[in-house]
Amino acid sequence: MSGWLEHLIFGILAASSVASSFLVVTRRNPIYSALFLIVMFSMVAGIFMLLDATFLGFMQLLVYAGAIMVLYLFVIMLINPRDDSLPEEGGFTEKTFAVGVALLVFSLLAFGISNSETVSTLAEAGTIPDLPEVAQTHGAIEAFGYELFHKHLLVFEVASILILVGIIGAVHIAMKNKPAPVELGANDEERLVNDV
Amino acid sequence: MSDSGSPLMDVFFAILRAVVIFAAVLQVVPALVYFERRLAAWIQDRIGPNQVGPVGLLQPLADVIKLAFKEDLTPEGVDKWIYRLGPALVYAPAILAFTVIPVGMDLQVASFDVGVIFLLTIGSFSVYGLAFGGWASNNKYSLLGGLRASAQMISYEVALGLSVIAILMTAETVDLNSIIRQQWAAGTLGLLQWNIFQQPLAAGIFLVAAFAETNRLPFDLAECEAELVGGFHTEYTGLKFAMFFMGEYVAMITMSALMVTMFLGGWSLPWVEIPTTPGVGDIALSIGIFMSKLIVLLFFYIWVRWTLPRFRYDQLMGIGWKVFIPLSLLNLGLTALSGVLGWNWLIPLPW
Repeated sequence: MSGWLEHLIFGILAASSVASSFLVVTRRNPIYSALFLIVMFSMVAGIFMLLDATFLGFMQLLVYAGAIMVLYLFVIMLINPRDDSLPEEGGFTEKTFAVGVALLVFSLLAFGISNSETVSTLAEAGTIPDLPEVAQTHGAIEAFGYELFHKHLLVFEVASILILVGIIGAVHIAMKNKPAPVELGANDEERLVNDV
Repeated sequence: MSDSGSPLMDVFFAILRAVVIFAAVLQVVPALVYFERRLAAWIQDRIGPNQVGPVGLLQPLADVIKLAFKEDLTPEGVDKWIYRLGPALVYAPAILAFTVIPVGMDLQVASFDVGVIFLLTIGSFSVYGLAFGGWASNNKYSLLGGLRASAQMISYEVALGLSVIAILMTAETVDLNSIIRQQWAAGTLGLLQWNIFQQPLAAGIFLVAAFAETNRLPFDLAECEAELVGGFHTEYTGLKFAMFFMGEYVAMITMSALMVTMFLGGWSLPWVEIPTTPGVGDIALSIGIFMSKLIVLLFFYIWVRWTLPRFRYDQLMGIGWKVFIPLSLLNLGLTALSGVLGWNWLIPLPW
């Protein structure tokens, strides 16, 4: 792809992801927030694909935009918010606090990224370095799997244990509120049969 | 297909392929609707539509004209933007997913190196149309339909994805054309090379999950008319309703096409050699093979719809989470085990 086209597409994707994430926090109705969050995830996935990380881009779409957001949407729809039933928005103090926290996180991230060793070496070289050997010979997914299961195996396993703990916790919470099964006596059964 | 050198020609050929394949899929929809109505009538010992045109063949055209001239109602109290977005969100992903399916020998609209993952991703997007459409209609039945759709599709997506991963593990690739080539072996016994025989459990899970993902009977709980009037599309009329309707049929075609590609050898047949440099005749033949397999599967879809009664919602979720997901995990474990132990095929071939 020629340079200017790539820049143009990046510009569109970046601008719309920033715009849609702004809309996520400013919409009053959570359904719209969810909708724009999906748009934002899709735009970021597009940026991944533009950087030749096709697999990562599709994973972003599949996991975040396609699965997690469906769950969010499910919860929002269960509550079924309509414009007249939404709570009052926070006042000036709360908004200022929220903006302050957002700016703090943004400046921390910007500081961290601009001072990271990887970024500064990349910026000095001026080009993206060649893909690792595995990617060249096997393709992006194989390279991804190789990195994940060779270099970061421990992190991967710890993450899966964390998810398992989360699942067990969710099941436990769901079981706690379940009413105890009613024991049917002989009389009850007789009554049931008679009723039918 | 389009190595002409000039980028403009590449773009032209890409657009041409896209237009031709999309138009072809759109033409299949009315044919499928007619096919389904006649077949349903035959199964139920009725006659079915036979008045418009020869043997009723123009009935779909009449239906479309009727739908197009219906009043396009927007009920009061709906959320206008999301209400309009709903039908488009059902229809677009279903037809977008068709871009990577090889309808003939190496013939597809776009060739990604992650074809299967693209399909799974796009498939997971189709739930938004039902969910948003159901919510925006401001109707309790629609909302319940949308809720059911999102819970059902996200549950069965897990089983669907896991059964596809088992295939990817044996194929060691995510390229759909390579998966088809691996399912080819000469002679009648070459049929056993098809993934439906190599991975019967995965094929079964995929088939059932595909019914749930496309909201077809026996799993069409999102629109079951006995409980929810029309489910998520209760408040939709005219062409908006038609888009929901067409989206369902396109999703059905896409799922069947994926099933043909993954489990039934795609555009190949064991008795037909795969040439290294295909001519026009070879490509035409491969499209024919693909289409015949597709028609058989679509017949199966319709057959099941008019034969089995609808599941209850708790039964649907129960078998989804308690039967199909454990089974697909088991299948994944077995596939991994056989891969580690070096059994290339679950069913040993005689040669």
